Amino acid sequence: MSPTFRAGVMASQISGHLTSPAYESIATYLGDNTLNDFTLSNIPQTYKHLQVRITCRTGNHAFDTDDGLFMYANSDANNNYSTTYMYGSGGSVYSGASATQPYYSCGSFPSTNTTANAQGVMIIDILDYANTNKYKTIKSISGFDTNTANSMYFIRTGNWRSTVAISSLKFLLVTDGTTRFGSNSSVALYGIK
Amino acid sequence: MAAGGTYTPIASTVLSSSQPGITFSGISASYTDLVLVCDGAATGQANYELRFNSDTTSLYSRTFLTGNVGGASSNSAANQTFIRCDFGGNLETTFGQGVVINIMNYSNTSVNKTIISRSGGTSGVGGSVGMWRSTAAISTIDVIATGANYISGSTFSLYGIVRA
Repeated sequence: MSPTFRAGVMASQISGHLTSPAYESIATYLGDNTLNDFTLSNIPQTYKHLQVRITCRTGNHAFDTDDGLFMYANSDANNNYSTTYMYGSGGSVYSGASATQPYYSCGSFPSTNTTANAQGVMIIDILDYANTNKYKTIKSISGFDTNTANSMYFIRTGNWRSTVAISSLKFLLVTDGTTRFGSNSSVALYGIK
Repeated sequence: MAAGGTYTPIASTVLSSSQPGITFSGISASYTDLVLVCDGAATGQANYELRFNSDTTSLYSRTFLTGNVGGASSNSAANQTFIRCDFGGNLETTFGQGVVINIMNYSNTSVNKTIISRSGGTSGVGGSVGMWRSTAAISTIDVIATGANYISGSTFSLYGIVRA
């Protein structure tokens, strides 16, 4: 039986934009299948938290069906990161933890070797990023569905063991140096007051 | 760096009576992502299920991860007629189960549409990722309680986010 919809809201009935000043767009990188990594720098210190919202389909990767994304704070590639994660793929659940890592492992995106036009998505929250009295906590959800059993849903949390305020974020697709942020990919940084 | 306020309320409703679903229509294509927040209960076994642009064909798929006192599990379903957006448990008949659904890149006409959610309630916690295999911009969202009704007092709110 097809449901009937007796309640509805027409978006056009809402007049104006009730913009909230508490959530602001800071900067965006738009993928065009040319870069393997990029850095969002000069991040203002005027927010309480940061959020990164990503949609991505990787390009120029000949083998795998998905590619991982790593994130670096202030270009720190020392072993100051840790991650705890859980993910589901098909009918299985996996969890684990990685200590003393040179990056925050964010999750993975589908490559051009899987379902056409499928994109992966990721939302990363970086808490109290400008506080110089404590380490930085990162949490994220991510995933992709390709209409296959290889689809994945991730939940992660991590830590950057530094009291330095975060002023830049570098994003790197798997370390083979050839994978690209594909066309129609975007990495958008927001600040939350 | 560019900066600007965003996370704009688009539409919101509180059900005044039991309903089998709700429709957000006439959604502007001027945002980058949509965020749909649902906090409800149902008259019987039901979930938060989405359809876009009134498409009832089998172009949807989803994968969820869930955990409760009995353990954790995951499941994928291909070629569905909707995206089930909660963690896999059924809605309760009393309030206490909600979901935040991010509909990413919803107006891009070059890609399929992907959603990702976090949800939880008294019977579990988890989330899901789903895909609508269409490159059409999303202008209508149906939230469906197949087999039951959302009860009075259930709330549904839609927000828009614009990137720099």
